[in-house]
This record gives sequence, C-alpha cells and structure tokens, in this order.
Amino acid sequence: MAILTENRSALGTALAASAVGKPRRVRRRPTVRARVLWVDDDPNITAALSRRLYRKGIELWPASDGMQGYWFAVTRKPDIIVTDLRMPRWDGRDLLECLLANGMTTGVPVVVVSGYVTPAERSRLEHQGVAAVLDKPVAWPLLCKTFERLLVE
Amino acid sequence: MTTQVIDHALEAELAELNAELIRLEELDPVPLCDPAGIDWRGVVDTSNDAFLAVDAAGVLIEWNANAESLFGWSRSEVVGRSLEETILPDGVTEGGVGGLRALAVDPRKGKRLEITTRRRDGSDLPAEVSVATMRHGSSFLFNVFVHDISARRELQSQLAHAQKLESIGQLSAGIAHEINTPTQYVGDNTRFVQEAVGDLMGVLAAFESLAAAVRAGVDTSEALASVEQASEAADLEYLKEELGEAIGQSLEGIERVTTIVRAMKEFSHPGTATKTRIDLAAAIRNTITVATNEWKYVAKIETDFDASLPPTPCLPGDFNQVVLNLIVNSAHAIKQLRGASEEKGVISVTTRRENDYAVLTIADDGCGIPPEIVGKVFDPFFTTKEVGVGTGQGLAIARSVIVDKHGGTIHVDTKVGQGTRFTIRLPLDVE
Repeated sequence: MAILTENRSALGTALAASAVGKPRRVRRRPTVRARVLWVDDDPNITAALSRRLYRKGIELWPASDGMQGYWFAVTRKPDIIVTDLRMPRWDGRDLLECLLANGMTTGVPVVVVSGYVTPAERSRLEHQGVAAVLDKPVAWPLLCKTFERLLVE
Repeated sequence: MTTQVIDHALEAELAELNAELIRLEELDPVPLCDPAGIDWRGVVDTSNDAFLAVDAAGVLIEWNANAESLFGWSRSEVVGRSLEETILPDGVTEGGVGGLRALAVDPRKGKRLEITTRRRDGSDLPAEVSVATMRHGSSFLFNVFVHDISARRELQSQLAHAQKLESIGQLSAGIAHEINTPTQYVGDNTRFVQEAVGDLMGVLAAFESLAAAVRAGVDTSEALASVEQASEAADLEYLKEELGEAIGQSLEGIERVTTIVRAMKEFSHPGTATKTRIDLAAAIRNTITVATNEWKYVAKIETDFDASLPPTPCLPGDFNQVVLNLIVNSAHAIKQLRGASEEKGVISVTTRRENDYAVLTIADDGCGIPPEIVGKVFDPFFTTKEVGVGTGQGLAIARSVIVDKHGGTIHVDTKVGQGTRFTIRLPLDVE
C-alpha cells in the first residue's frame, strides 16, 4: 500500500482518465461472461481486441500504462489482467511487481502479451507467478484457450 | 613458465651483449659518450619508425631503412621523386606542392596526424606521421617519422564492426516489438471485419428477399420482419460504428510496419567505401524511426532540419551509426535522470548550414556528463554503463567516423542534471 500513498497524485490522474476505460455503449450486446483488463500503450491493440472479445462475451477494459492499469486492477476487480511489458511511466514489470504483491490482486490471473520476450525473461516471469506469457502477435485460438482455462480456474 | 629459446645464435649474441654491459658497469667511472662521435645517420637508420625528409618542393631527399621495408621502395629509387609520385597519391593530397599539403599539421592537433599512404605495390598503408619543420639554408626541410598503424586500424575496424552488430542486435528487439504490435491488431481487425461481413451478408440476404417481395407486389410484412430480425442479430448499429474504425486502424498498422521496414532497409544499407552526397535530414529521420523503441518510452524527439542544407558528402552507413549511438545515449541519459515514472524528456535534433559545413546537433535534457569524465567520453572502451551494457565504443566510433573518415569535428557541451549537446560539423566540400 506504500506505493498507493506515494503515487496518490499520479493515481488521481489515472482516475481522471478512467473514462478511457469505459466499455463501449452498444445497442445490443452478448451476455458478458468475463471482464478483462488489458494494459497496452497502443490503443489500437486494445480497440481491435475489444471488438473480437466482445463477440465472445468478454468485455475489455483498456489501460494505457502500468499505473493506470494498476488503478483499474484495484478499483474494478477484473477477472483477468493482461499486460504488455514495455510501456511509458510504469512499465509491465513495475505493474507485475505490484499486482503480485498486493493482496487485493493476488488472486487475479495475470497474462503477459509482449512483442519481444527473451527466453530468460519468460522463465523469470513464469517463476514470478505470471499465469501465461504469450508472444505478440498472439494467435486468436491460443488467446481464447488461455482465457477459458483461466476463467475455469 | 619459462621462456623457450629457439634461436641459439641470437641467444649467444644476447649473452655477449649482456656480458659487455656488465663489464662496462664494473668500470669506474663509466666512460662518457662523446656526442660528437655519434653516427646520426645510424640513429635515423635504426629508428623503429620509417623516416623520410622532404624539401620545400615536396621532393624526397632522405629515406631510411625502415621506410624501405615499410613502403617497398629502396632509397635510391625514391630520392629525387616527389611525395605525390610515391607514398601520397593524388587522391590524398588534392593538390599542394608535391604532396606536402597532406603533411601540413594543424598545431592544435599536437604535430601528429593519421593519414593513408600508399606502398610501392599500390596497397594502402594507414600511418601516423609526425612532421618537424627545420630551416635549411634559405629554405625549409620537413623531417617526417612514419609509424605504421595498420594493426591499430584493423582493431578499430573490428571494434566498430562489433559495436555495429551489438547495436543492430539491440535494435532488432525493439524492431520486433514495433512490428509485432501492428501485426497483432491488423490481424484482429481483419478477423473482426471477416466475421462482420459474414453477418452483413445475412442482413443483405434479408434485404434481397424484401426487394423481391416488393417487386412481386406480395405482402412485405414478413420480409420486413426478417430484415429487422437479421439487423438485430448482426448488431448492425454496432457494426456501422466499428467497421470503419477497424479498417482505418488496420491501414494505419500496415503503414507503420511499412515505415519501419523501409527505415531498417535504408539504415542497414551496406557501407560504401566512397562518400556519396546524401540528404542528412532524411538519413536522420530514418535512424530515429529505426530506433523508435529505444527512445519512445522516455523521450519525445523534436527535429528542426534546415531545408536549404545541400546534400552532404557522407559515408551513409557510418553516419547512421553515429546518429544512432548519439540518440541511444541521449535516451539513456534521460532515463537515468528521470527514471520511468516521470514525464518524458526531450531529444532535439537539428541541422543547419554554417559556411562550408553542415552542422548537426543532438541534444537531450538528461543527466549530463560530470566534468571529471567529459574529457574521456571519446576514448575507446570508456563507459559509465554497467559491465555487459555497451562496449564503450559508441562515442569513440562517432569521433573516428566524423573526424578521421569525414574530416569533420565533434564537440560535446554538457551540464550535470541539465543535459548534453553533441555538435557535429561535416565539410560540404563546396567547389
């Protein structure tokens, strides 16, 4: 919680920007089965995935950096958290450290989806408690299978 | 470990010399050497470096034994010929009296300079020359010691190559990231469009049935109900909203991949041995694109390029390497000062023309360089980064490329905690 206190003002900024994370209002949508927080600094990534996941009944909440992601993680309680590694402000490693250490988020499975993960980093992440490490671009069937597995667990 | 002696004759000669020295030491007092009796010709001939002397017209008048073995011409072959006809071919001297201009040493450079000379067999020999001017009667004499630096040059070129490979390896990770991100969303969007088009076909079929009913003049209420049902099922409102965006973002993604692949191709352009005139701004933009992943998380890049700067004679591969090294250094300096959680820093890159020079500056608002080490930053192997991060060659290579290969200059201005600016001047070689 020390981090929360130290970064109160920054988290405030993240809160103000929380409109970004609101799900799209649509006329009719499939029943929402799960909510996924997806942290990636490229909004095109989260926009494209939210279109596809929407059809699968999964609502995607986008966050653009580790700090915003952490704020959504503790305030909105997603079913799964997905994060990239390289991002401005807090990067994925900072986010993971906080998520895996905070009692409020330890139960939420965390998936890393990144454009470049070295084998050493992969094993370090898995050892750290990350549920899955996927390479970007991640194949759709693999992503679905991973989500199904984590949602059942 | 003991030294193995293979040459018995040499061993005997060495033992004899040692015995002679011991015998001399035992004499009291050691006899003084009479300078008047020294064979100065012998001194010059036994020098470890090649020695040559040139008169004011650039004609060789002296040539020692080492010069004979280094360049391949005997003394009698070269004495009386000009430097231009022998070790300094036309391309190097670019006019001047008999090739003398190539030996004109800028006093600020410490009376030594590195030049490329030519051997008798036509091959190049990189050499460090030290020139002293001596008055001789009513004219001048130039005494030149030539030190073979081909081994050093070879090492430098291997290091430069290693550094280039290192930075390309580092870049490839960033480029993988830059390409994989758009690939991800282009793929997802295309799949989305594919599924959406499938749904739209269903809606279209319902509309076709409605049109057929209208044409036949039969009751349309059933067909109309199917249209509404199909539109509802396809979530037509949602598709109208999302389809355009999905296609637009995909095109943007393809554009991003194309840009970075094109930039990489330009950047890794095989180095040419001769200079070509290039648009510096285009080359710099390209390098900035290739290195995107190295700076984008910590800095913004602001560019200000002088549109009136003429194409500049340049070795493109080497020049790109220098710009890359400086931008990566700037990004590291900003990261060191600001860490990851603060606002981004600024790297500003400018070009302008100053008389007959193209001037390039790369400045950052990073941590700066402490005064006690600023004098060493261009030294090979000097690094402040952790072991394993960098070879300590980045700025040494920048200096060698700009100064040795382009005849330009590179300067650094820095203030701890405020930032660093590198200024590079490249001669435009205007006629």
